[in-house]
Amino acid sequence: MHNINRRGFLKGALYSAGGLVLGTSTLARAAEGFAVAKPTDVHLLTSDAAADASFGAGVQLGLPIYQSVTRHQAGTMELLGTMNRLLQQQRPMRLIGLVDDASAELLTATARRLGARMSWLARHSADRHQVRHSAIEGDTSQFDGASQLWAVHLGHQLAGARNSNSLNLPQSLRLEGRFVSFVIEV
Amino acid sequence: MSEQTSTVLPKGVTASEFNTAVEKFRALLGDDNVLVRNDQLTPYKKVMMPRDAAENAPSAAVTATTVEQVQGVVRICNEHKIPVWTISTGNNFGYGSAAPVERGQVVLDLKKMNRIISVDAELGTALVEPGVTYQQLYDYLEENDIPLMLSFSAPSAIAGPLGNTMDRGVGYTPYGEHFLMQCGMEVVLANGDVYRTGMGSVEGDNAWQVFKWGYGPTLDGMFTQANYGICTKMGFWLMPRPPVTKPFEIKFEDETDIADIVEFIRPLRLAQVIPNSVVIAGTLWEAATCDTRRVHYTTEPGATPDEILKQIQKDKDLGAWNVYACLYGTPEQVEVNFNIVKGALKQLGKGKLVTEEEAGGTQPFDYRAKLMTGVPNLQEFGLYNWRGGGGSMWFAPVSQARGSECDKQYALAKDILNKHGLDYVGEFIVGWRDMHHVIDVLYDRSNDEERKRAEACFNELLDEFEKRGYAVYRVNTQFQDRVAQSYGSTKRRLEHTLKRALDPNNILAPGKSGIDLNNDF
Repeated sequence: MHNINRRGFLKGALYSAGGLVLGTSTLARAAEGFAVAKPTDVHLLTSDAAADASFGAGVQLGLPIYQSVTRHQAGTMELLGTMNRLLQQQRPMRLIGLVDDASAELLTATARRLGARMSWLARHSADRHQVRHSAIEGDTSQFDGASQLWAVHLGHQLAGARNSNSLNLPQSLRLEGRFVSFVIEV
Repeated sequence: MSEQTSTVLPKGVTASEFNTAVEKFRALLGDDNVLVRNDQLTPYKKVMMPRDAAENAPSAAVTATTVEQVQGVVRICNEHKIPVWTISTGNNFGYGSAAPVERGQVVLDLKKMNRIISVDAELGTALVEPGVTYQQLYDYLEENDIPLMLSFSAPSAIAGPLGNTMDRGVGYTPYGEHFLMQCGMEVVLANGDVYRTGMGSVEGDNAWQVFKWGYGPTLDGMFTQANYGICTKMGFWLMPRPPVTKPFEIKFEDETDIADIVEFIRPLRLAQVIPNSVVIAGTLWEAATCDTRRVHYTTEPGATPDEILKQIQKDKDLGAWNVYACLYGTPEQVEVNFNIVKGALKQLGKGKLVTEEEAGGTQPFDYRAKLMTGVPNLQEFGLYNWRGGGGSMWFAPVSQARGSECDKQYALAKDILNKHGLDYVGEFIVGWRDMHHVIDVLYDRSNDEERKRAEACFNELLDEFEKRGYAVYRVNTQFQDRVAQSYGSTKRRLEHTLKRALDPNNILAPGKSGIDLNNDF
């Protein structure tokens, strides 16, 4: 799947007073320099539809209003091909992803091979009972004990959101499973 | 934070000393080849072992493009007592990946040394640099219409022959014992000398890639799984692509069939009726590689119950054991050998034979057939999604190729794994007279309690197998010192004597395979 979404509708639907609060975080440092910089290509990589819906919603909400994002939701081999193609274009871009473990291993290896900068890399595990996070690069402590809507929050901040926002998030954006999030910049 | 420079230092090295070394690296290699920022080093930190990733964090990574640069890196490391951890493609997943064995070591990444120096189509030989991948070599053979076939491990497309052979990895073709097929190494020693094994040191020689032994002591083996030098070139043999390949599978219904399977296979393998490294894969291995996830069947923690395993076996049309083998040769040779296999199977009285035509391009048959016929693919990465969470450790004990041995190892491994709430996800790779029993200990690395359990499980596997006279042939960096102990103190003392002689400053990958001059030897 490959499409460009502008976030007007989602933003209107999800931002509202009385919703959940996202604080400024150390996590947003992964996006440092991005929010204030000139527009650059942003690509969202996810390995399944549920991750694309919840994490993708957060990413779109977190991006500046003028910023479009190209979404790639696919299986491991297709994502690997996409990343290879994108990173070899040698122009400034930002890849934000939430993928399964098989994809994460291959995408991280690709980032290393091509010399891309990886400003964020973390694991996430969510089921009915609890949500866990562990960072390889970054700080996930603010998410300890977070709700089932963790993926939206994560995407929001990895996209560069720096200020507190109130979100009225539908429960359909809950996400369970085991994932790896990353931010790659070239 | 990610924009910051790494604050990790090599053990016993001051910040000032380290910075001086980094400046020298920059002068030697150029700024772009010296990585010290956190966001540049992140991909070098991702590990699958249970201990904290910080324990394997590098202080820097440098990339070299020539042998002379490798010599320069070694010189700088000697001057400043900087330990250096060398990787070729760095894709040793589950064995340590690209991270160094000890925190603070500088990674020397040879990914940019990726020249295919020569391929001899008539003699079936190749000479490559460390960064050459199997996919790159495969493409080269295809583009140049060279009728030679590769043998590789499962992460074939992105791994490379030099690194895999230096770690004594195995593949699935008749050339599957990769170190056996290695012929000629070039090694940069810790004193900066460039040493060539076999015939490689003879002026004007052209037999480096065809005659292994040369004259006097043959030292190739001592550089594998070791830290006595940095391999910068490797020669190896390639199998002529036969006119016909015939991959096939035999499915066995019950887990208790393993002993009979091995007794059935061994004579065929020894007689070279089946010439390749046959695989006997368990249900979960095969299911996971074709995108079966544990969560599809249960969300309960712990080991997956046997009734679910049976259900998966049924749903995915798998055996409890799935034997993959391949025949190679002319149509006449293949037909004769296939008839011998069918005859032996009839005598055995169990097992369902599946040909390539019957499998019809379905997984996992398709990727197994590709591995046995030298076509790279990445299908096996599906293993990491079975349980998810990014934890993976290969437990790989060897044994004699006897049914009774495999039966014993399988039962013991499954008991220990299940006791710790983990699954048996394993396969046996049949060597000529040995079995590599390869088990992927999969666990959720984001769960601290499960990480501890996985670590305890791995220790118990090592301990209990050792009590019965078994040891692993290869292990991830967290357990390398522990496994070195299994092989006894005489071997370790000799290894450290060699280390003192060849690398007195202990700069080359100290800790690799438990060899480190800081050890008490």
